[in-house]
Amino acid sequence: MIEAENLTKMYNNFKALDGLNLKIEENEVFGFLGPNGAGKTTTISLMMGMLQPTSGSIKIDGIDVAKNPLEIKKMCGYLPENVGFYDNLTAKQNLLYFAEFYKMSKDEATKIIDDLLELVGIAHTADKKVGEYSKGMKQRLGLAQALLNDPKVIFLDEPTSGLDPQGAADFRKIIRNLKKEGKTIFFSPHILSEVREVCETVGIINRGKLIAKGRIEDFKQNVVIVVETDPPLDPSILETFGNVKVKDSQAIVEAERDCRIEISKTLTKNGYTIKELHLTEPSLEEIYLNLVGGGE
Amino acid sequence: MQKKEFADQITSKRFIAIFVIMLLFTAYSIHQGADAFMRDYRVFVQSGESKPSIIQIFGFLGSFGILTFGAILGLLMGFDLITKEKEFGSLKTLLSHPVFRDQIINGKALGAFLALCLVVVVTRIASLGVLIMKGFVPSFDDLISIAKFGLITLAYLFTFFSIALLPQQPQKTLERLYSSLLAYSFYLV
Repeated sequence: MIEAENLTKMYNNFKALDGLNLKIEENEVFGFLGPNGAGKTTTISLMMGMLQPTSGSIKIDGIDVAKNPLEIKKMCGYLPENVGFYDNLTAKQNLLYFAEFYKMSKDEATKIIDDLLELVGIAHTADKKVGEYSKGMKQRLGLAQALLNDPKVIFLDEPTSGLDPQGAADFRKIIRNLKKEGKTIFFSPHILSEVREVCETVGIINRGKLIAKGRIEDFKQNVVIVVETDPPLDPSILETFGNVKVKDSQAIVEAERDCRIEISKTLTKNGYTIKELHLTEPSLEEIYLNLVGGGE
Repeated sequence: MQKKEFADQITSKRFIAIFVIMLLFTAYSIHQGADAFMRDYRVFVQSGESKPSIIQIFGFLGSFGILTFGAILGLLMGFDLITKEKEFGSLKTLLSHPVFRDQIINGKALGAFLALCLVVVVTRIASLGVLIMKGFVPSFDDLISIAKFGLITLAYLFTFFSIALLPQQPQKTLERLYSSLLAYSFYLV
């Protein structure tokens, strides 16, 4: 669905993106991670046709973004970071104004807008001026704005920043429902834990370069298995499974995969009673910090 | 698009404030100018000498009012039209929808033009009202003269609006600085 090839963007002498290659399939929920200033927003702006790349190309649904930005905007929705509106207009008037750029009648637009405001949970304040809105409410309106044209591809830049926990949960639910409707979602999360809940694939960008991409499962590096037995374990028995360290009465096995069943069998065969046997996976945060930290 | 820009302009406090001042200024000077015109007109009727120009009704202050407040109005209407959108982030939201940058600027210019038309039409109608109240019924030629004066006023106001809008378009800071300075010196002249 989205294909970026060798994407480079220079701001004066600063290389915001450095030969980024990225491929996102249709109906994929893609989480785009990276430290501040890594080039996430630049990437999204380029994909929305709001900036021109210095070199490289992006195709969305086979359409070249740099050549046909208007076509792209017709089929994509974008919730920018710190989304802004016309403060002197009401939420509804704002959306009606944006709806003017799509081929829809006013009645049609009004109906779509009412449904969207309901969806994002601000229908009760639809006729209030946006200037009086809180940040979270603006964020909700921003999502409604991004869905106005029933887009095939949706770009969300830190969509849950400024939202209360309930709002963030609502947003994640909406994103999951959009996925069910067959949309492709490009999502730059505010907090890492959201990624696991919403995204299928993840890309990590640092200093304008994609340093890792794949399914979340693929990111899991070595797992750690904690074993405690009675009588205390002789660590050499488990050495076939991986690196074994002894800590107090526990043995900690660093294995490539989850091999608890094999460990259990081995221990039983050797006459040990198992007191504890559990797996700890590195969190996404650990993986992320490892990868990003490694680049520095 | 221009509908929204027009509505934004005429409902902005800035616009209303300057417009009211301008209107008061114009009304006062037309009141004076009309008196002077009527005097000259009576002389013309009696002696048959050169017919006084109807434009006289706008008086010195009327022209001066347009020159100063009109120019200020034009500049104030335009100078932050785009930078304001950038600051509030609405430009980014707007640009994520299928719209050309030119369309945005044209919409703004057209909206402001309509608002300025409103200014000119209202002040002209006020002047005609004062004239009729004083008992003078303008001839067709007089109406044409007033309309011509109105068009020139409109062009003058819109020029100042354009001067204010223009420097917001180029990306380079230096260029922007130069054109702002240029606009300011225009204004001083």
